[in-house]
Amino acid sequence: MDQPQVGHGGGWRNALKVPFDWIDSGLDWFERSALIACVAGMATVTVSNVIARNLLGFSLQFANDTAQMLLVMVTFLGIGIGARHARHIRVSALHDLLPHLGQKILLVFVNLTTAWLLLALADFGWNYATSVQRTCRVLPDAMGLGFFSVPIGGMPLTVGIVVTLIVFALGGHLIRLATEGGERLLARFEGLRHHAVALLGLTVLALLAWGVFHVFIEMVNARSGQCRVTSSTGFPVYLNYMVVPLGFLFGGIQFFLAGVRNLISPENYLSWYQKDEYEEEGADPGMTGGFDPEEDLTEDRDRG
Amino acid sequence: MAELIEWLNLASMTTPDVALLVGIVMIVLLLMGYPMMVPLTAGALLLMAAKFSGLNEATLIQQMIGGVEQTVLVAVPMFILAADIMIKGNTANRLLDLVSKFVGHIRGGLPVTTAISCTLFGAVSGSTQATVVAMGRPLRPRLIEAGYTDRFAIALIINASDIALLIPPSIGMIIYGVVSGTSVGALFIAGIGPGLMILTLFAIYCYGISVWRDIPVLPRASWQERLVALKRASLATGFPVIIIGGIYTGTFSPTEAASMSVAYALFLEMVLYRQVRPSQLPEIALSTGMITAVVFILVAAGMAFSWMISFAQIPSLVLGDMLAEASQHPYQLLVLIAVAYFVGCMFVDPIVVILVLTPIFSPAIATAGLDPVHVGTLVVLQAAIGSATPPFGCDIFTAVAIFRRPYLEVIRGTPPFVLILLLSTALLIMFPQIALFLPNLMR
Repeated sequence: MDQPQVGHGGGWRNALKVPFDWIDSGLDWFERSALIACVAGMATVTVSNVIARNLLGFSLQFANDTAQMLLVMVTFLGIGIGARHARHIRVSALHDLLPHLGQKILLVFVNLTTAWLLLALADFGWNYATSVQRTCRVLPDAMGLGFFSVPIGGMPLTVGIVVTLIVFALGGHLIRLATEGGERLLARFEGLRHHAVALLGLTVLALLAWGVFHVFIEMVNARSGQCRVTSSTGFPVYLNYMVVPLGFLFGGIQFFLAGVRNLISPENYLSWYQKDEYEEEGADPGMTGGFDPEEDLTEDRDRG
Repeated sequence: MAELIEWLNLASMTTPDVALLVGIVMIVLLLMGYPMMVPLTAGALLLMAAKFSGLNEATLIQQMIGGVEQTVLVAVPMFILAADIMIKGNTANRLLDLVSKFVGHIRGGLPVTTAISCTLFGAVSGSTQATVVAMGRPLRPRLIEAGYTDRFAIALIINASDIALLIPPSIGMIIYGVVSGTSVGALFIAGIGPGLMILTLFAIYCYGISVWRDIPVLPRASWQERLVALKRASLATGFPVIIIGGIYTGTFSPTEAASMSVAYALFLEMVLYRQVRPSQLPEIALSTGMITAVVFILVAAGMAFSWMISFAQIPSLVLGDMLAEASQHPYQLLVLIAVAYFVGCMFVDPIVVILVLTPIFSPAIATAGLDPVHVGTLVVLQAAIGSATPPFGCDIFTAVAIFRRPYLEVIRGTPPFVLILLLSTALLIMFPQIALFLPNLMR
């Protein structure tokens, strides 16, 4: 796929490209990692629960609540990545009948207005999550808990959004560095040792995550004991609901970028990376399509 | 926004007029190619602005979250994950090989193999999209090479994959069960009869096409080859045992059956077949997460829209008299339900249609004394037909995305299959035992 012409234009375009790429790849890493962790978490708790109940004779009380929370996270955090890969279900029949220019105008309009709607929903979602948060006796803002409340709560909206994006992009890059470091470490071992080190690393990571989660919950509980929590995990529900505005924000940004890409490129795009195109007549019918999330994006990045 | 509402003078409009306006706006947005979540949320927001301007928009978000925050819905991503593991692995090929060895040599053997393989993979994965990917990729080129037209091949793959909506595990049935309060386990069992009936009708049609086009038959496999294929695929048949057997015996709830499918898929593909490496698991989980997100944002938006129209009492205002009349005549009500879901699914995703229409019909179904399991099966069958029917059936767009062929080319082969499915609907309405025979055995 073609990259937008940002690299060949004036200095300001090149100046924009570096921070754009940094935030874009950071957010991509964050969103991918969050989805992978949520799906893996859902599978782990539900399978463990069935095994524990049928083989060991007891149920994991937190399994259902945890799976529900993770499902909410997948649903909303996946909006952005779904838009990035142009996977959201849409009716393209009339769009397909239009000439190239008509399709471009429609794509620009549809993507920019979708972005506007999703950003409005992010605002509504933020209002809802903070209204649930306000039921806590002590606002966790006082402790600086949660990335969201700090930037958006006390700053102008646009600055808050930029800071939030930078924070999550930074998180994404930290995940990337940790993953790449882990891969380099694993590459030093072969055979059984490779698997043993991988298993050990995952176990340490899981224990670390478990520990951090418990410390976090203890901190929240200690400061805001009257928050509405899920019955079995003690996890304050407002923290889970914070993913709603975040997901709509990520989605809105992706649709905005899709609109912009159509404005600056001669070809039509369904998202910043995904071209609006069909298979060529006569191409091998067995080699097309599918759900490979790496498809197109990896190629596009490599060229970039 | 406030100026727009004032300019349109929405506040002074009657509720049926607002409902009509909302419907028109939603259809226009849909036709313009907006992601399907946009017409739903825009419709709900417009309705709220017109009739309940005092209501906080955050209520809509609350309904969205409530829509997806249900334990039984966790079954959906788990079935998708199991299917994704199988797609990366070798289960699909083994099933395909098994069917091909047994029926490939008969006239129409290849399309019949396609239909049976799609049904079998639907029975192990529960996902229409996953079935199209897993079976469509290897079978479409083989069908074309054998002499069938591309339009027939694509239409067969789409429609045969839709049987996955009926054969357990069925995502449509999980959603219907959640919304209507019907046993998901009973719905799963009830879907088997209609699914097999449709498969038989498709096989007859494929045979007819093969004779008409004089397509040469494939060489017959020896019994030794068949036994080898049977041995290779025998473990894959463990999925229906876990899902149907587990639910039938009460060992697992649908959600637990889904999670055990994941465990079994991992065991097969990673330990026994060694086709999936641990390093591929993140990629598989990402694919599952993305499909789940795309589906569940529709569930969330559909729930919010459904709540909004119920809150505005639109169903009783628009359909009240018709439903009251139909509830006195069960067959009339069944036909009305079939038409409503069929038409709805021609335009939007079946999940959205089930979410929106089920609360509207539920009181009439109870009044008419219809068996909710029978109705549920009929509803899911209509969802399957509608979603594979032009002009806007969503499975057509799935096929457009997966095969990357233009829309008009994809829909050309579908009419005969839609007619077969409509015949199946008539049979299911006239003979409820097609669906209820197996659940009645359980009682």
